[in-house]
Amino acid sequence: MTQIEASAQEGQNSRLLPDAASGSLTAWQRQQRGLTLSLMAVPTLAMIAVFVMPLLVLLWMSFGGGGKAGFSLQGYIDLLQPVYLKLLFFTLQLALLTTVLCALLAYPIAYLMVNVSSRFSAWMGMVLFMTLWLSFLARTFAWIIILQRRGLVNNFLISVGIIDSPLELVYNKLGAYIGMVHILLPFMVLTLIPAMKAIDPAYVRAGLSLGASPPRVFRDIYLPLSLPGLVAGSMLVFTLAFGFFITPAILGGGRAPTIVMAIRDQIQQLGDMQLAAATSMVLLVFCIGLLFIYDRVAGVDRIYDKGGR
Amino acid sequence: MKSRLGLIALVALGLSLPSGLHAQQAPEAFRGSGKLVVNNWGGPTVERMHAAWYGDFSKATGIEVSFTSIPDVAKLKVMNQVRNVEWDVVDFEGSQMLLAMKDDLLEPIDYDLMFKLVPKEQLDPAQMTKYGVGSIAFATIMAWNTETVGKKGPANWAEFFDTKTFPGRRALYARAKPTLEIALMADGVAPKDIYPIDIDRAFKALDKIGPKVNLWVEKTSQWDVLIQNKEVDLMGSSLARTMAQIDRGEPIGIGYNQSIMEQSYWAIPKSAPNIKDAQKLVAWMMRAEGARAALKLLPYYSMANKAALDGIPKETLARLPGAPENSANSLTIDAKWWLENDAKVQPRWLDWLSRR
Repeated sequence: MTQIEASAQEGQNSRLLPDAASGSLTAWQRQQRGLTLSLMAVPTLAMIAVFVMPLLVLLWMSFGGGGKAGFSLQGYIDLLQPVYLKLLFFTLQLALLTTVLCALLAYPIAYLMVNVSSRFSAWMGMVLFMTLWLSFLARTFAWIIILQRRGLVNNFLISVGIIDSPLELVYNKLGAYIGMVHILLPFMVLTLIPAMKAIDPAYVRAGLSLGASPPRVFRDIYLPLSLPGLVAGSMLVFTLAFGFFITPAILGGGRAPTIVMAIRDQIQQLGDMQLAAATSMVLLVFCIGLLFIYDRVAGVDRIYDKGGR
Repeated sequence: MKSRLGLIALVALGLSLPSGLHAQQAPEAFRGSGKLVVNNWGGPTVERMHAAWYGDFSKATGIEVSFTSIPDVAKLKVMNQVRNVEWDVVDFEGSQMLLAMKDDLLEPIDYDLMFKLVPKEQLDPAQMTKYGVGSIAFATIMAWNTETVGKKGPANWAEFFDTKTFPGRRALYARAKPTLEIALMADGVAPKDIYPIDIDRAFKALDKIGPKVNLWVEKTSQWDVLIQNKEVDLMGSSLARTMAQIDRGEPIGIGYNQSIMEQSYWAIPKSAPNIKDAQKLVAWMMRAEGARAALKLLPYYSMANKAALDGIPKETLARLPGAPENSANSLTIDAKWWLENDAKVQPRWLDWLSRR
């Protein structure tokens, strides 16, 4: 960080929250601090009510709170059955691979949208948004029409003579991945766009004019600058994919059972809220753990920085 | 909401005319002025059926009825905990009802009131339990594509998995219930000997049939898509969904032998906002007239009121899972067994399925 940047950052911080340690606050600073704190009170309370409280209730339930049997570790003991570990592992695999595929696909799309004429990119945005308007279930069934044995893809491939018998494109893990990537792709694209828009084209031009090859400019300048968007998008997609339920359930044809399906059965079929809460807590711990690793590797704080650093 | 109620009222009016029970004739004990919220499984089919069932209830009694979906014991439990139960009448599956009973969430059915309206001898005693009275019985049956499998399909579950006689792709529900039962019947166990299920034997039998199942079905609505697109040739599918597709002209044959019935029940949540009127509605829905009208609309279900079968045309009767000749060798899901054993079966089932 250069001297100028550092001081600019400091200036930004002091604008947000006046530095109390410096002692003498002007009337203006005091008033501003009061305003900041009162404005922060509402979102803070909302965060506690909407996010923290339910989590605490869930934690309490996972130890048997609200149940008849009283407090116990039974929920966590039941979770030690190998099947739950297996489902958890598969769910992790599904979410990670979906995230990677989404990133690979979304990157060129977002790049295109940022760099083509604004009219064309508006159209692309419309198409992308349109898929978000449709329900998960409708889109899931649409994929069946496309991928099934007598679906569009297989019929085309057979009529052209590329294959003789239909390919198994759906009702297996492949189908689950296709559906998940399609549904989560817009989220990745939409987080990548602002990050890419914030990249000053002058950096790229400078790199090229100084003799770097285009791949090198991409690797050393563009990619690192767009990383915050990629990190944010990956976390969003991963978290959504981790909790996905209906798409892998239907498109997977029973061959992609996720831990979320187990939670559903625990609640609806077994009525075992403690086990379901315990499973959810374990999922949460896993997600936080991954976030931590991600932070170490890619730096989550980048998300909050501006793109151009 | 209003227009839907209006439509239901209109249908109700139409159905009530030939039934002979006019508005003025509602017994005094059934009059009221409250509002009821009925929680059912949603969808156009259920809506039509309920419209027939309720008949002229609102008109005759002055009690308004509105609907929500979907029955969920966990939700009822939470609503009960926070003392804000929203449902007056719920259409629970058998195992759901038992689960709700275990947590003491249900109000006993007022049979004295019911018998004031419906003759006791019309009702099937097997469907009258303390906390719930039979609503519908839905069935899982063998179905096959007559174009690929032929007119004559498998006669029982053992034949269903005979890939030599009946080559083709197969689909079953991705659920332990009723797949364990199906596996055991395929293994040669007679329907009457299924319960209590020998879990180890059932999973051994599953290992045998598992490789022959190409597709595991998560949601009942998938059957429509699978049938219309000829994705599979043989299936253990929902009778209602399959019949609807046959009526649309799909080339599907079905067999009732060793069909699997699951009984659902009308139940009234404890601390429901309007228990008194809820009892009236539950009793009202047991009338033969309403059940008969519902059967004529959707001849796929079996009803608690056996008198409903009187006057039903022969060809309709032949399609009812509850008709004597169809139910002769059927299996009824033992909800109690599942309640007691599901916690044991479920992880094992998931483990088994995840190895497919």
